[in-house]
Amino acid sequence: MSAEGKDDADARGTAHAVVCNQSARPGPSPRVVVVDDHGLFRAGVRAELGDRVSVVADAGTVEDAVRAIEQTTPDVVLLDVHMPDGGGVEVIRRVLPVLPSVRFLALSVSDAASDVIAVIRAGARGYLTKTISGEDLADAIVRVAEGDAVFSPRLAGFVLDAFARAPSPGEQAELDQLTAREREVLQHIARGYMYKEIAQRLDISVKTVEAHVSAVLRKLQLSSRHELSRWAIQRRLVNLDGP
Amino acid sequence: MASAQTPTGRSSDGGITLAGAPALTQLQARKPGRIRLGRTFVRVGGLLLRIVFALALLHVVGVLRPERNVVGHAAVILVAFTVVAGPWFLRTARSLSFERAARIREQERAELAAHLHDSVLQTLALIQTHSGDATAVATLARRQERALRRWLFERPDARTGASDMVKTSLELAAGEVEELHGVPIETVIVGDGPLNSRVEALVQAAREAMTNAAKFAQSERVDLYAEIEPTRVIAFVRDRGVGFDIDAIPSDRCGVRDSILGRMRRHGGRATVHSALGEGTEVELAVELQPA
Repeated sequence: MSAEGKDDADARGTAHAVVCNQSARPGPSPRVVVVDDHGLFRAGVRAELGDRVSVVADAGTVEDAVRAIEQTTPDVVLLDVHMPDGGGVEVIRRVLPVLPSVRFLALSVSDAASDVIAVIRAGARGYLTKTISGEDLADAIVRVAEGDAVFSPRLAGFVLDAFARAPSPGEQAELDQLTAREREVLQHIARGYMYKEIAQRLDISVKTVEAHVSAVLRKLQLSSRHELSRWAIQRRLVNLDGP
Repeated sequence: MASAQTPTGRSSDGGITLAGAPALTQLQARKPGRIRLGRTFVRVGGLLLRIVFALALLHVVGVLRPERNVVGHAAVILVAFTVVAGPWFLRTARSLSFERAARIREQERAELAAHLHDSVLQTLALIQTHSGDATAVATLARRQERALRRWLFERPDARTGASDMVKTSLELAAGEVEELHGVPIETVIVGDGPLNSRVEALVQAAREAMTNAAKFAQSERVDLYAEIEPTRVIAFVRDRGVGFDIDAIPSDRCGVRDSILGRMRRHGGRATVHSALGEGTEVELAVELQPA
């Protein structure tokens, strides 16, 4: 039995930047750091994740998070988008240059598209909403640990929106456009289909679906800063000037 | 004349504040009123004193000699007055605008507090009284989440509930169905546009499809995805429930045939139902639009 029993997890969840026994689990289950400024939520995630992943540390502030990640070098960091002192984006900015192998999965209740896109652009490999079940969350962590990108329906919608609002094809590089197939895959994710189902419906392999999603992620991260910031500004203006 | 008016005006002000207040409020009103009045006296008195002092100084220095002309005197007095009274005016103006900002801040805080009280606190109270009923608690939490999201992130029209935009209409429809039947509806909407009769028909059909999914599919959640473009609107309502055989829809369930397929056809749109037993159902809706 590992040291990551549920009872222990509950007790530890409330402390800041608790570093747990690292040698406990050499197996294939990914090592995870949970970063969220709500202690209750960290404890809940620890309890829900159970045995499929091993939570090696958790943290409630940007400072604690950076320290905990550098100490434990986990496979995946579960990252809250909204935190004091810069939020998830700040954690990614400070960790990625030092530890490029660490993968980030954003987890949030936030609905503001610009915040979510900002975290993805900073380097997160996916975005999930906090209402996700423990089992689905564990699935997503395993997939991110293996190098896949994890898109929730909501993120797929945000991304489609982002590219739809970009200017017409003549004005921008090929790189900033989605291919027809990528759009199709994103639309299916937004409609609530799993990768496996999408592969079946489009008659392609799951690996190809994953490749499309990763390509979208790359385009989002590489596409010109200018276009997306303009999109964000437009969006905010739309929100402000509503009828 | 002028010197006679000022003291009477002041004393009548003081009379209202000190003696005119009703007995009950007097105790509370008296102290701050008196202090404020006192401060005004000190300020105005100080100002007058300074002006008198400045005039006396000018006289002693010899600027106000009778042999100088009237324009020269006026100019000198004006400059002296500006120098003496300027800072006082500036200070008063600044403290007024500061007070105004504070008042606006206080108003916003009060509005936020009122909103949280009417929404979040009420829901938390309800959750405590329903703590044994998991479904009720989940429904309450979802409803509150949706309301708070609307309040935080969306356009003002989405908050009031009346809208002439497609996105808000679809979100409201999804919210209503979710509340009515207690099944969460994950809503993802890309783009937006104005509502017209054709799109209205699509919103109604989507609503019917969500209602069917929530009532009959036995699915844990329903997904609504819509894409609004200038030339077309498409929507997908999907569940992972029991599914059904479309050709064997019982005659008493006219929802699908009339409210979805028929409605879309009447409005020049199209509806397709994909369903298989045990694999869930997806209703696809589409209308073409004339570009504006």
